[in-house]
Amino acid sequence: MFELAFQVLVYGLIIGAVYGLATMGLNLIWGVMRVVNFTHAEFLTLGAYTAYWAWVLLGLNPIASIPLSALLGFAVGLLVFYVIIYKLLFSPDIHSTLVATFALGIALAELMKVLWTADYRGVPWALGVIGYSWFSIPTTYVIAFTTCVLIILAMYLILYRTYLGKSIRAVIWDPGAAAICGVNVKRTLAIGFALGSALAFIGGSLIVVYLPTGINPYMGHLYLLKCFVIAVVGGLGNPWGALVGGLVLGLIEQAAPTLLGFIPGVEPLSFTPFIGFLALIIVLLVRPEGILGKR
Amino acid sequence: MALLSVDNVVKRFGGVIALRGVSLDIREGEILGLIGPNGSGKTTLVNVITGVYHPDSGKVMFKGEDITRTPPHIRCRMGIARTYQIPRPFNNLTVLENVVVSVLNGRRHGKVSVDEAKELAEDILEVVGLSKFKEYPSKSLNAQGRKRLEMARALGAEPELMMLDECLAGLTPSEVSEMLITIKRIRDEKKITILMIEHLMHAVMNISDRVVVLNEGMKIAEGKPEEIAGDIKVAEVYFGDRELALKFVKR
Amino acid sequence: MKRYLVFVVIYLILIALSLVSTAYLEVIYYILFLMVISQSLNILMGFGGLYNFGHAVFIGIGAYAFALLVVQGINPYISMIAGGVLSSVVALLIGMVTLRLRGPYFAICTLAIVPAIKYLIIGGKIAGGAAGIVLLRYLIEAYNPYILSYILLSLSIIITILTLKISTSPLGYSLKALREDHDAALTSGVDATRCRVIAFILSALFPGVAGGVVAFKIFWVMPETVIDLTWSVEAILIVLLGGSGTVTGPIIGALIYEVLKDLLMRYFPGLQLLIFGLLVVALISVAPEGIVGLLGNRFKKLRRILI
Repeated sequence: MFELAFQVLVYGLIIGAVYGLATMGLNLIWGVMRVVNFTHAEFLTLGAYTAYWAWVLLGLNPIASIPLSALLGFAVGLLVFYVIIYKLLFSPDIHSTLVATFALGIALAELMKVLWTADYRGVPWALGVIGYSWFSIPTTYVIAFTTCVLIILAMYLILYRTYLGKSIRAVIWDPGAAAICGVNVKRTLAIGFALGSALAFIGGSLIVVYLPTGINPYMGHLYLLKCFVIAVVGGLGNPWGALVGGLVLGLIEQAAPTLLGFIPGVEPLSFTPFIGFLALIIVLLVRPEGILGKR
Repeated sequence: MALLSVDNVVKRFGGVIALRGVSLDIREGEILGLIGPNGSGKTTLVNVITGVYHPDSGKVMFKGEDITRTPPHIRCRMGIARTYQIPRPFNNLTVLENVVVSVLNGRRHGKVSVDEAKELAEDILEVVGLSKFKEYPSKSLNAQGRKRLEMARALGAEPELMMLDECLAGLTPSEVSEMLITIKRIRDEKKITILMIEHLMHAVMNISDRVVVLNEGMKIAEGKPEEIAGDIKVAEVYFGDRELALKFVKR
Repeated sequence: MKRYLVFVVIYLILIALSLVSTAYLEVIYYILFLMVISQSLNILMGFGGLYNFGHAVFIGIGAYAFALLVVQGINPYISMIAGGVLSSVVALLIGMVTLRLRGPYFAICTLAIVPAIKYLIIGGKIAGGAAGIVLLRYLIEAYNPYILSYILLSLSIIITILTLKISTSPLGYSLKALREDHDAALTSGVDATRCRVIAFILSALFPGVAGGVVAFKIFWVMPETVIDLTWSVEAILIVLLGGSGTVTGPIIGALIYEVLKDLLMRYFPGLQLLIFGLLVVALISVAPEGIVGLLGNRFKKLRRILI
């Protein structure tokens, strides 16, 4: 019993942390410009493909491909922001950015299908397991987790120790006041978006470690629900909320199949995402700003 | 009995206490001026009265009934209407349609057809001087037009109490005079009680029967305009300096 | 009478084409289906300003209700209506939970509902789970593609008339006010919850019946086939393309969308979604008022028939 609980806890936290990192970009973009970035799932997918091609063409493992993902993600984010998002921020209909990012997501997924076909691809990077008698965890998972923690620390330093980070937080809190204090709001928004998209790319590369064979243009659909549950549960306006939400979902995902197995007539693997959805609904009803969101 | 009474209302937003136990009565048929420096809680008070905010403690009573927990749309149908400081028209609807909305959903809710509502709305546009613009999209109105539309929409609900939030801001002196005449007409002809939040001192002192002064969420003075004008506490709040206030009041 | 010119013309064209050749029937069937689901979404999204990404769920529920009744031996046409009723009931339940959410939260939540219900059915092994319900032997004798298309035609006409009525009714005014400015609508006396719930239920009724039609056509109800996010997306796209909040918009939009889709399939196979995705981005940036809005602004004389 204890072994099981320990396994659930460790796997839940390790996987959850990466989920959290992968979603951080979503929370950041919402916090900075009140835009729900429905392209997020496709950014994740692109990050995964970056890891794949880095593996196939350059022999880099997913961790080593992160700088590449980050740069690409940042560039793509800037492009999307200046071409599409910026104009729509001022449109009277609050749903403009929502629809635009959603449509862009669909277009990107199809583009990936055209370029790289819908075949499932994988990055079979394995380094054995770390383990004791009754507990084992793939070494790669631990490495991914460690990298995740380092990146989160880096994000903390950026957000709290650099001028850029402070301007981002200022714009999150009050764009008008930030502008008066000399913050170039448009540029800060652009960088905020680019940072969010870079995080999504990085998240995608890290997720590849956990699903060695599942890379395909539509993997975004799978993560769409997960990321939104994480983002909302944790608190949309707060990047750290994504981490909290990620850990929560990670634990639910590990614990649910085991617990659901006790209920007859229920297929645990398919039912687990529904539990995640229930968490989303409950949070939206009881505390819509999430665990760490501001009221 | 007062038409509306606010009883020791407290409202907090996180760490900020916007209203610290405000009580006031609005008497039927009067024009009550509500003044005070920015941030003193005037708009918050109006939001509590209309039901957009729930007070943390205290009561709001309308015609003897406790409406503290009543939803905003019911309060409107009971006879409370308001205008917004920064006009909020229904942008993609025409000027006429804006007023039709409040006619259909105000005091006559469920008792009037769309065609009847349109006629009533046209009459109201006549009163505020917007008849010419009735088919225009409301987003195309200028500042004065929008203020008038705010008032027309509030009138559409056929309220007993109408709360005007800085309806004179941004108007030229002649527009201000016109608006004041309209407000007086509304009170006299339609028998509507009016609460006016205003910064334009000469206007509010001129038109109000009584004045209430708020500062930092508390009521610091209440009385006839001439009493308030001579009140040292009020002058101090506006000048920020007791000596200066004393000099002003002595004059 | 001239006000209804657009509708009469389009419907007559569709009827005529369907009689000319069965080759067209397939396309016309789908166009009518799109008209039904997008016009019904228009009530909620166009008038009320609520972007329901979960609209497809109503179709799926109608399909499942249809299937469950038909295997009990109940007349398929009655089952279709029952599908509509069940959809409305589910809409009431979902609405009570989600309609208190503001804009983006509503969109996220409704987007999540589609996969959630799929997982619920598969994981909870409800109504056959992933395998679904096979209807072939119950329906094979009654199958007639013309009847199905005419059912959709009738639904489309009814919902369009309904939408026209709502547009000039107190409910229509209230919904539009809520769409424009929620708080100002409240203080003008609009009962936000009630209006939204009614709009939500109305938007679910017809897709529910249409779900039964879909189930009839494909003979096999499975989560993968009848709960399809694509339909939500197509409905939203068509409402935007045609003109959100107008009554002619979804009708014209459905026609243009399907024709465009077929053309793309012929000349740029495999690239349709990509092109549509980019099209929507351009649409929302440049012409958010849709085709009807654009035409109305450009040709003032057409405004009377482009309601």
